[in-house]
Amino acid sequence: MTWLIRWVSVSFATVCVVGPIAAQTPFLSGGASIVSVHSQGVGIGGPTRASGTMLGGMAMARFGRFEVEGRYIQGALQSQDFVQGQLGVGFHPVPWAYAQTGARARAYVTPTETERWVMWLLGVRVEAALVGTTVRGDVGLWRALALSANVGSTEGRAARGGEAGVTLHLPDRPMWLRLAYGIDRASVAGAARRETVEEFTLTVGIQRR
Amino acid sequence: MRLFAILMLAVTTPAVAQDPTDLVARGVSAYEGLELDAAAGLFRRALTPPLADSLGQKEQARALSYLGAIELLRERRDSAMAVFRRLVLFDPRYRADTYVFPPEVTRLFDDVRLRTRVVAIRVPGDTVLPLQQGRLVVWLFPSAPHDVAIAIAREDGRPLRTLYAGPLGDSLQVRWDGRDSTGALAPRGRLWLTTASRTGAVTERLVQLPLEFEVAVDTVAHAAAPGPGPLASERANRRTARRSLASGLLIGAAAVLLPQVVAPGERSSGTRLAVGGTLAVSGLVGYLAQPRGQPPVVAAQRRSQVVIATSFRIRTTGRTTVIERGERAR
Repeated sequence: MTWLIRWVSVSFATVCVVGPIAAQTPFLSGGASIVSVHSQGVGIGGPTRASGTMLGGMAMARFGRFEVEGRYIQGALQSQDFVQGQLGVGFHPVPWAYAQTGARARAYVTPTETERWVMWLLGVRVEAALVGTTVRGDVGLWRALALSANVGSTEGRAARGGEAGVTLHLPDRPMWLRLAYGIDRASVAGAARRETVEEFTLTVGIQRR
Repeated sequence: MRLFAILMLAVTTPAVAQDPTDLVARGVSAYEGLELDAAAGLFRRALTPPLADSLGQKEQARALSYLGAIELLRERRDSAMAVFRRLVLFDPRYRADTYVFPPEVTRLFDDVRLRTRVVAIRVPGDTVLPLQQGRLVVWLFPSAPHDVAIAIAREDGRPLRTLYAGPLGDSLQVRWDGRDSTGALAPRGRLWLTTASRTGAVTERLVQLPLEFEVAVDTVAHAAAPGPGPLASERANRRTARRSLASGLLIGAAAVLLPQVVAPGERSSGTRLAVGGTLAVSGLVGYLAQPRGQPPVVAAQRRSQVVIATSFRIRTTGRTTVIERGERAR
């Protein structure tokens, strides 16, 4: 079942992206982020909490209504290293809504082991102009179509998350600033594991067509 | 009568002698009669300004090809290569005619052409395009396959938009929508269409074509009929303002409530309040910054004075110039 879902996601992504890439002039955007990460976990050893400030980046290419986006953050979460990458493709059916699918991989690295969580996401996001075309706000929710984690069990896997943000496009400048809050919770009931991660992100970006 | 005949001869003889097309025709005849020194003299005269300026592009290229062939046949190989190089720079699309010239001539020409990397630019001389969908079509023809970078640059040479960077084989069509790399309309006035012929990271040669960029503006032809109520414009602006406020408050509230939706029961951090607050304040600013609107009569009167950009015009204002590496641009 998991492989079927992955196959459908990859096929959808391919159909969404390949045709339009050949036909459209891309709109490109990229930025550097500083991210404050708060993590709460529940496991066999009891509840854990950790936080850290990390650096990251994002890049996005839009071809008409289609979009390809990648994000990456890396840093230290107190005693362990935290690495997260995400690659997604999406579609704007209307200018104010956006549907996205993709994969998010996250790793908690300690000297003795590396714990990996990989999620295949499907989500929607709505956007609205707040101050003319200069300031825009958005909020989105996603759900994991599939989740894999090396935590000892595959029973009862689920994940969901959301993000809200405000983006300021500097008038007559290719630069933009974004402030965003995101939260997600992934759980594997069979291993009695639950991880909730909050991200507070400040991004400075540049766009180009 | 005799005096008239002498005067006619005095006037017409130099005119015939100075006709560059006639010089080229006589040069070809001399070449075919293997009078190489005489032929070279005739072609050189035809190709020397100001006579060369009145010679068409095809005729100039033909004269240069004959002159190069003659120099090779006179065993002046370096001189022949210099003439062929001038021919390639003058017309990168020119190919030596294998029915006219012997193989050693066409071989030398092809050798020079492959080493002299330059691009011919073809654009409409004067074109007006709609602002929304209009695209200036530019055709590029290289003397030989090589890497190029095509860009629009400001008058002072600063780049405005890169149209293409990569290999150029037989020919290439690129399009420009009149905008810079950020999506804004290009500045009015003099611009340059430049193609840089590159070997690796080194720009060997630059070809520049001057363009004049103008944006046509138009006034709105007729004022729209007033809406169903007397305060239609105020209502529209207020609706937009209210939408900004509602969107800001709703998205801000959603940011604050995200933890309850995604991870109920977890203790969430206060950072969501910063984002939620920023969203709400932005919505409020959007509400307050919205124009209040004008009375319909004033709006209708002013609407006829509103000017909007409708199209852009691009015309070439000179010939292409070739700048070699090391030469100072413009």
